[in-house]
Amino acid sequence: MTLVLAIGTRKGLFLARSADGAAWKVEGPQFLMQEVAAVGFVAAPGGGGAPRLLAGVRSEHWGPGVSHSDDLGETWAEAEAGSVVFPDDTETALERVWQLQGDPARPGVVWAGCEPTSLWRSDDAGETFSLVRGLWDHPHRPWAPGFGGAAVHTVVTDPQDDGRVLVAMSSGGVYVTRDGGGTWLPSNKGISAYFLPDPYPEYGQCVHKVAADAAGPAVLYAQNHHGVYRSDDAGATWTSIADGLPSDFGFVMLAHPQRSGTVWVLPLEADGRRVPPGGRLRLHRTRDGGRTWSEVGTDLPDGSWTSVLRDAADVVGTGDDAAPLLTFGTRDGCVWASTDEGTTFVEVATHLPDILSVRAAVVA
Amino acid sequence: MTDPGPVAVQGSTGAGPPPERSVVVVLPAALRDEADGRSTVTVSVPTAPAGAAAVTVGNVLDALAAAHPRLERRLRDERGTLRRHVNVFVAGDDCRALLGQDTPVPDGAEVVVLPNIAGG
Repeated sequence: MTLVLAIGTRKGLFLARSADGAAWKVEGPQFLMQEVAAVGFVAAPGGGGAPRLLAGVRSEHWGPGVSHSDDLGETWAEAEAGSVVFPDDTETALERVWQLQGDPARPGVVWAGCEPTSLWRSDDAGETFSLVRGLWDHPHRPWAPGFGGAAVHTVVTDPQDDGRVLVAMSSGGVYVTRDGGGTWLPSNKGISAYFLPDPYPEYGQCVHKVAADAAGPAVLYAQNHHGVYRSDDAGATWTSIADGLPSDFGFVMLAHPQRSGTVWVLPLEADGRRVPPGGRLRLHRTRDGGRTWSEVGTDLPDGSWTSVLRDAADVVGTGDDAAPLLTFGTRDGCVWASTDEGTTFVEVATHLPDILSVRAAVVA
Repeated sequence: MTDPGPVAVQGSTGAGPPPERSVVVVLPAALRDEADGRSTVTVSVPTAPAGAAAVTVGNVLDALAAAHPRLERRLRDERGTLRRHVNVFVAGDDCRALLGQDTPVPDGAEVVVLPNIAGG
């Protein structure tokens, strides 16, 4: 068993490998001088073997695209006519791929969240994507851009219901389809948008990340632009679970892949102070669905004035419920990994470029 | 990689075979893999495209796109807009300072693609 991290940075892709989660070997960069804002491990076409690795790559000169590798980054390919290409009638050009999310229950299906705000579906394991028209043609569009741009950045699928998909966008908030993408309804009741005249609008929230509970997406957790929430009704309503955290601001939301109720956030001080509270770079973990929180990460640094972006963190199962592979990367180029649910960490890499995306995989 | 040298590319001719002119396009090193390793590509462009008085930068890029779709995506987005940090020079002049993709390409003029300074 090999633990693999794909680390997308402002200046290329790095790969880290470990047999035990303690000693890591880092290789790269690939796509040097190109921004890798999204990475994803998805089921290999045809099943079996190593997962396919996807990278949303963007060159300042030569534009954006999605590349795929079936040998864990040894070689890469990209669709001849482009992977994510806006249809002519949209009169729109792709700016950046923000999210590449496989659908574990449906091998071959990959979702891409992109800028400008759009959702795309691939049925060939991420080689080519089709625009999800139901969201693109939504009467609420255009949604206002957040600081980093206007994009769909989160896709949560339902293993029991392939018609049900949840997306989150900044700004815009959470939207849910029950018919596979044809129609979408906002799903933000209870989530604050303190920066708008109506602090609880139907939509327009700046939801930073949503994760599904291990028991399934009927229970969801959201890190908002100020606010940490839980939904027990698949996103229909949200209630705050921020009590006990040093701050309700941050970008990361991770849910344990096997243990229901276990979730991690990585608080930053505030919208106007995007650094770890007091310089203490720490995660906070709940084991009871957000009723109580504990600071974890005894090996993480003090005096850290960096931050962690929404997709620069991941957690995957390793077969041992008590030892998922939990990882995150910072804007000052450090990558950390834990195999004891975040209690302790090892430093995987330092001095990389600004880290934009991290995804983990366990490869046989 | 050894440069295989120029190659002629047939442009789209539409209905009937209008007269064509060859234009040499010079590519930066970063894009040569998208053109079979070549530093220059010679394209054949109709001299009288419908409604146009002269061969333009856009006509040249269209001919290039027909033969090298991956190269096309590097130069222009799906709306056909020249990417912001891609510069195209015609006989030494930046087409953005002239008529953009409508800039005429005079007989014998070379079209040179260069990346602008970008990034940090």
